[in-house]
Amino acid sequence: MAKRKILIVDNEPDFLEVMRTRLEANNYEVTIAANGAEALNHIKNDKPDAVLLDIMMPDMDGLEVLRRIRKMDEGLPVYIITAFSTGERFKAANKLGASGFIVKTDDLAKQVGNITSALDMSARFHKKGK
Amino acid sequence: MNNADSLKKRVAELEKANRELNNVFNSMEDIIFVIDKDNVITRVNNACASFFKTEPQDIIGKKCHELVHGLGKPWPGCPFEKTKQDKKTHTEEVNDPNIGLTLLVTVSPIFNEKGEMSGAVHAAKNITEHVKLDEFKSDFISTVSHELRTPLSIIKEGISLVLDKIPGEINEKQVKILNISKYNTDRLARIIDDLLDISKIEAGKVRLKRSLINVSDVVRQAAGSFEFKIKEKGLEMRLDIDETIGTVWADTDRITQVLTNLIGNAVKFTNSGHIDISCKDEGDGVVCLVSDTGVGISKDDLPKVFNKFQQFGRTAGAGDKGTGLGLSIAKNIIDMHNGAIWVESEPGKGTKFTFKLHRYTPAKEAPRS
Repeated sequence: MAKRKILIVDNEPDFLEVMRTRLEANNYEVTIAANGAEALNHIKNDKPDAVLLDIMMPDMDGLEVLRRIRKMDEGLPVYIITAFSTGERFKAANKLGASGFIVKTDDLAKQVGNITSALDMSARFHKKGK
Repeated sequence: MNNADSLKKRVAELEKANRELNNVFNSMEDIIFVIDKDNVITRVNNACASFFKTEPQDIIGKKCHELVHGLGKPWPGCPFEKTKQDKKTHTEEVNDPNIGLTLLVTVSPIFNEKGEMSGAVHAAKNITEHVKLDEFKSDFISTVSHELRTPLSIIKEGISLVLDKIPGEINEKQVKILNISKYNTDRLARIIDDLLDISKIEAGKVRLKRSLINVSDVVRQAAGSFEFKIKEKGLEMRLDIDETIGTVWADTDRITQVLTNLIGNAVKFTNSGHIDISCKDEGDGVVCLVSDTGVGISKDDLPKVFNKFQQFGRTAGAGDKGTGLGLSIAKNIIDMHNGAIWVESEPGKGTKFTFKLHRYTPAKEAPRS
């Protein structure tokens, strides 16, 4: 079975690197984007199976990127990377149709594990449905 | 010396005493004015006249609320309104948009020879800059906490990746060192979380999510989350929860946070014996108690218990290290609920924390929720 593709969007290269290592260990093919414009290009051209998107980015923030993704693809799983699990941005991301959240200070390995399990389950469900 | 000379001398003495008193009054930097019981200003110092950019004689005779607040009747937020009621001194921060400044005002009653209150003296200090600095400090802490979270999460995840052996095998010694590093990054994360929490509370940015909550349920749940830790330490947890205490108007998460801090502290500083957690009805409110048979706190240290980063001669046992902010956060949360929290302790015998939450009274509680 071909590896599933995941796109990580964050302006912090070190964060991208640790997340890439974790996801590759979970058998994902990882592409990275350092800003919103790059992320939208990747989504158009590479068609990832899921996106992990940082909410706080210069130029185009995560909320704007999510808004534009939803115009292109309503069903693409987009998980928001955030420093806080409360607040206005958190609520706004929920409203815009975020699939879930990754809270930076919580256990990242566990959260990534939960997301990949959810994606695996959803992939199996869709395969059966076809 | 004849009578006329004696009178002249006496008048001179009184004039000198009056001059000295005026000199003292006018040399004070605080804005001071005296009013009678009808709010009419009877005396002011130079600092007061300068504050209003006028001469003392232009102020005397005016009503305090007209001059200061531009109102036709007494300003309800004035501490003098309280002094009128209880004839006691009151100190409050006054924030009237009409003044555009933050003043720390102390109003003290003046009594005549019959013991009746004849007026009051107002002493006000302009603390606007001080308040602005405090706000700046809170914003600064909040930004710093934000910025600390990203590198911290990267360090934590980096350590976890190596511990999970994703980049390759590691030996036992490396595992041990990395586990210590991981434990301490978690500790640092807790400090950042607490620091952010307290800066938000102090900046007034925390809004309570109040509802009518059953305190006995909240206490039981908070205590339950410590059951394992208490057993693990060989301690006994004794619960005494009055099931009939009913509800109070409070924020469940925040009261849970208070209980978690108190019980967590009790577990940390108790090496043998028991931890008692109780919750009782007390007429106009509910009283919760967390007491332990731990190391206790000395008499000198007791008043400092709720201060930030306060550490004193207590040695914690094994387990999570504290952040030094838990009790300060607990006090802030209880204060926000208009409740009260206090501590009693005896070194070597144990410590008892008590907090009281009042019953729901809409007029009193609603504006702050």
